[in-house]
Amino acid sequence: MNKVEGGRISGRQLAAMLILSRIVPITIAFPLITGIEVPQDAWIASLLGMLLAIPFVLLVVRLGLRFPHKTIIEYSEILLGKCLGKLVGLVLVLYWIHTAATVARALGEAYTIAIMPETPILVFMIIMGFLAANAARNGLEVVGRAGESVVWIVLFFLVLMFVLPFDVMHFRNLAPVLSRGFRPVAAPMGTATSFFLQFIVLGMVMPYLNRPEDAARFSIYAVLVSGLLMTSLTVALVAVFGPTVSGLTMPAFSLGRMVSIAQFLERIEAVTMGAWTLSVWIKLALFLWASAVGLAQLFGVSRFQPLLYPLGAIVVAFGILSYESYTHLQIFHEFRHFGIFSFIVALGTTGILYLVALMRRSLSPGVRR
Amino acid sequence: MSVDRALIISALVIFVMMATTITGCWSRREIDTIGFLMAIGVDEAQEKGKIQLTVHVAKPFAIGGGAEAKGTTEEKPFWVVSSTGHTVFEAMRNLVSQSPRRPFLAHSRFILIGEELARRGIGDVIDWFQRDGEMRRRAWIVVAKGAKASDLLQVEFELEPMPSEGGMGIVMATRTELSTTITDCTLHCFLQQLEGEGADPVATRAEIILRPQEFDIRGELRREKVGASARITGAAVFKDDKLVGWLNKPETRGFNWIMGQVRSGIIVIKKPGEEDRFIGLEILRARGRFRPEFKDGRVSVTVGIEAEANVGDVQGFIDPLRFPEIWDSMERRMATVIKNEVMAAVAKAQELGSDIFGFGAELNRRDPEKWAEIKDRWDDEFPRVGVHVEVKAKLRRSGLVIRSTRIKR
Amino acid sequence: MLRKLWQVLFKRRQRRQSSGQVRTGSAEKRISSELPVNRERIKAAFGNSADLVLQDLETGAQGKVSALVVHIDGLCDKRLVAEVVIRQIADTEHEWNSAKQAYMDLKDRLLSGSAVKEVDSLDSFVASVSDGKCGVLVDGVTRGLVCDTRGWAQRSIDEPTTEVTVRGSKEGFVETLRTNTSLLRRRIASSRLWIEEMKIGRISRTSVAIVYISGVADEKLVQEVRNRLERIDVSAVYESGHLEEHIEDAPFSPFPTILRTERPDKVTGALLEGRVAILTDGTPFALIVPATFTMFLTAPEDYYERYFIGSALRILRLASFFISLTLPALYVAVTTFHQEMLPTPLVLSVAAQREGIPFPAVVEAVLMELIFEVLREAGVRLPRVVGPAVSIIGGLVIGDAAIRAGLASPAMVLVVAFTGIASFATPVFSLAIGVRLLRFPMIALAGALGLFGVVAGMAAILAHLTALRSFGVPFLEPLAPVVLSDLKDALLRAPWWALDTRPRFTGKARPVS
Repeated sequence: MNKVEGGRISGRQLAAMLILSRIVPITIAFPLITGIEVPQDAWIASLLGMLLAIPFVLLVVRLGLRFPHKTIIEYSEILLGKCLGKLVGLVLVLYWIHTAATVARALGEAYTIAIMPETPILVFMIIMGFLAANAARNGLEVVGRAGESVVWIVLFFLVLMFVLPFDVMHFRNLAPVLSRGFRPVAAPMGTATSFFLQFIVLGMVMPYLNRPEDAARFSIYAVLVSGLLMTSLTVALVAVFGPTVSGLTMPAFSLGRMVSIAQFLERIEAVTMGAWTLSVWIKLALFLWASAVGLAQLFGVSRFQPLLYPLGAIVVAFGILSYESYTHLQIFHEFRHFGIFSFIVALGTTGILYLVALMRRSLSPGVRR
Repeated sequence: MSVDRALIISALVIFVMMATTITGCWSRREIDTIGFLMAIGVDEAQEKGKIQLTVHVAKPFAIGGGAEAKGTTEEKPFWVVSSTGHTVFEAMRNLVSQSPRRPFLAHSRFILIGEELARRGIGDVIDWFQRDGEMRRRAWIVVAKGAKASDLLQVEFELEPMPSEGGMGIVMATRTELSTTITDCTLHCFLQQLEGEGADPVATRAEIILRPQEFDIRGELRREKVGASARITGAAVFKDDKLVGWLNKPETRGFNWIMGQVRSGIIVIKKPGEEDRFIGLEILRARGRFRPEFKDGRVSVTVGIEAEANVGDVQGFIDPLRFPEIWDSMERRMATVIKNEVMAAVAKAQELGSDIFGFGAELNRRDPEKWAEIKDRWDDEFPRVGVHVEVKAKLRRSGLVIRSTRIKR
Repeated sequence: MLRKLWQVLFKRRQRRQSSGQVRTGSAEKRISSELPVNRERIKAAFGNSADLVLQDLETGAQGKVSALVVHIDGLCDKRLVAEVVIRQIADTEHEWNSAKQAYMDLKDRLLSGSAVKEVDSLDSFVASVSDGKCGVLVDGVTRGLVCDTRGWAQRSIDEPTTEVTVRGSKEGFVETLRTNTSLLRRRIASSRLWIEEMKIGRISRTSVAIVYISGVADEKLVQEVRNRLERIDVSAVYESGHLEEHIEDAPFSPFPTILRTERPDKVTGALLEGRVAILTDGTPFALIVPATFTMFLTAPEDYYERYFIGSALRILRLASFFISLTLPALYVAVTTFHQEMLPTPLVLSVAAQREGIPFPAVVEAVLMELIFEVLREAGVRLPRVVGPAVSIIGGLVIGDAAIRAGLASPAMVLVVAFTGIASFATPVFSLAIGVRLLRFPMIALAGALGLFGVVAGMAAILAHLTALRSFGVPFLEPLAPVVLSDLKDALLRAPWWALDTRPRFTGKARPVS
């Protein structure tokens, strides 16, 4: 068997990487809440979006368990045949590259908007792209371990961030609940779910788990932990900012700015930003790794490492070219663009693969592995 | 081996990046090249349609600190300077032509607004303060009653050489010790009330006090130095983004009772039985809540206030041990005072037509459908809202003596 | 191209396997049956060195068998040579028929008091002599006897100077290998403590011992250590640091992946955890492999003091590790990029202090750090009597003068001084020095990109650390990858009764037995 990657990671490391990947979007835009009609209901959208993500994750895991030691790229070829399988694989790799590019761009935007406006955005993107490619070059094990150690730092600061501005929280801002029914909540809910759809990268990571049967458990942990975190962050945001929340460019960042403890601990936004940067790093590394291994498997290359620096450069360039401005980035993340795009790509591919797998099995039960 | 190589490569890349960035110096601002703006005042400029910005810049070298204090101690540690522009941002940039140090806003504690500008509306002014990354959302919004913000920026306080620190000290102390005269109104809350349905913003009201130079009845030290000082005297009431009126001190406390913002303060009641004497009660804690309801097509609001106080200061003689009824009558009087203050605040707000309490917003939270009906005519409806106040006043303790000293006649 | 450059710069691993062993077989010199020939050959081998002592003796009743006793003055215990070797040979009244018989008798009876060994070749005879043994040749016999009479002036067992503890054993290793192994043997009185000895260094023939506890240490690990040591091909080994560089996993890392210690109790603990110790003759510093990050922040006292105090101290040390890595960088980042993070009075005071200082904060920081490093280095190198004086004068006078001259702000001096102190809280010097070097790029990153730079630097370091391995064990274990069962003795120390399993890398988490 053509073993491109030789590492082994644990379920905990998988969960850590997934949590960090899911947390990243808040750094930047919080598409769940920006531009939403009724911000006080965003937490419902977040919660429901999380629940919707669970069946999807289970789908990916079941597919993976059906083909032990095979990545989604490899088994799509088995299921759909060489030509179509490679096409699906290519779509997925492009999706990961696009995700990474968006993340890189968003990181750069966050820094240029809020902290260092005079610094060119490329500086942040190149440094981060390089660091991520560097980590990914060392293989999944290193990304996983780094994720495992970073996740605690990130969670700590995240929790700190939405606990510390307690003195300006007014939970009455959350009322009235569902004043305009479910309709305005549907789109943000889809957005929330579509971020979870990025967990399709699980299909790439699963064969390298030391116990693949843990995949379902730990990825659901990841969904729950990150989903609940997002939900409580949403609650905190609405409680602090009230109706003004939907107008903020980077709500979570603004939340960090509200901290003021005894006139001493103030404006910790740069610190929380630092913690987020670490999570961006892990997410970028994970997706770069997935794209590199995916590409290597698609084209039958035996080593993925040489692909990483070029891929990093592509991601940075792609990130710059994809969006004209930050506003475009935010518009893209609305459900009618991003949501539909993710649903087609992620849910579409896994759905097709799963259906074909089911059909194959019913046609020829003997092939079951 | 790959580890080593990656390390060397990363070191190389980092050094290249550093070489470029250090020479480029993007975003870097050495701390001694920054002019720390401590307070920002916004006024209408003489020129039509322009905005005058007055800022109060700290002079760190005049504060002392470091091994030796540089500069003379006589020097004032701040500098007040003005500039104009069509927008606040432009005016702020124009400051650079007068200030050798780049203005830096992150430490400014106050946004002062002149009365004239406030009456015209501050919606166009306030945008930049939330858009700019340096400004704190926790900065206090203060409206100068009967003055321009630029004048208010000239005041000084005793005990604190830096007026913004002095102002902040007064604000903080007033907030916790004397909730009568101030209401929490940072940029953050102001913006929320500006946007929220069925609520109007308030801001702090400040007045300039001119003291006679040669004669100071208060006997403060160095009186010749502080000519103009400032005092917080209540709240400024806005309708949308326009200043429409003022709350005086009792009205402000009435407002705070309703909003549950009273932390401490003194309630003065007349002594039962001896109407020319007073008793001072210190507020321990208070809870305020209100519940708007629809009744027969009209909105009525029930305000419930629970207050606890200590007897702090008695003129004349009381002995609650032997005459317990005085305790009850003091409580009743306390309740009456609170109720009067609340009613005064409500009456003033209704007179000004500004829903500073957020009755409408609360209605929306409780009954969104009804609110949707009434929303568009809320401006007409609000002055007609019937307010019913229920006060539970409790006296808890009476200090270190129960009975007053019996002064022999 | 980079790879080419790489190979040119660092072609370290190209080992000359062929010349690894000393010449064997035909080239080996036999011992001649003619005593004078041997005598001349030995003399020639040592180049007639001044400390070579050759004594011709006559033995037997009629003195008809002549023998040659060879030893090196200073390496042998004089009393042992005189009483056990020379007296036994010279004073004997045996009647021998032949030289052969005399030789056998000497070997089996007379010299047996001193662990006598037989050698075949002149080369190994010479090697034994230079090792401090006393060699005996008998005329007409082509074999030689080697008696262990080693004994030389050595430092007495002393308190370890680099790892001082308030509580715990005051014994430290010395320069003699045998004494050091005896220190370990005394602590682990078990036959399962196995000591394998080998000679490294083509010329120096330094004794190196691999010490482990059989059944506790993973056999694969021991084999790996053996392999790596055997691959070393150098002319001499001066110190264990010399070995360290040859066997460590990542020679270009600023972080050490092998722990060195002077303390037998530390080695004992490591051995019982299933690690392998490498003792080198001529240095009191033992090497412990595999070494993980948390071991470098561990002091022996953590285990001797009560557990929560031990845990608190470890957290303190971890904190000072991060302080020594990042504090100046954070200070630079905050004062030049993120002034909003400081409380207003503090920011004004810092601004007032920096008033009139000509350099940017980065340059100021680097300058002060350099001064500090020079002071520290001078303090270490100076004679012990002058050292403290220099550090006091340097610290006080230079710091104060820098402030007065307007070259540095008091806050910066405070930060640099505190960072320096914090770096001394790291118990292992080799880690502390690596971190001190990393501080400079961190400061530069902070000066260029603020907190983003610091975070990027930390990410790079973290990626490097997670990729590091020490003899197959991830360097950050049990933190990354998290090994739950090993966390009990990582950042915190659980009470002794809870430390009931060995680290994962020894195989399975076997209970301590």
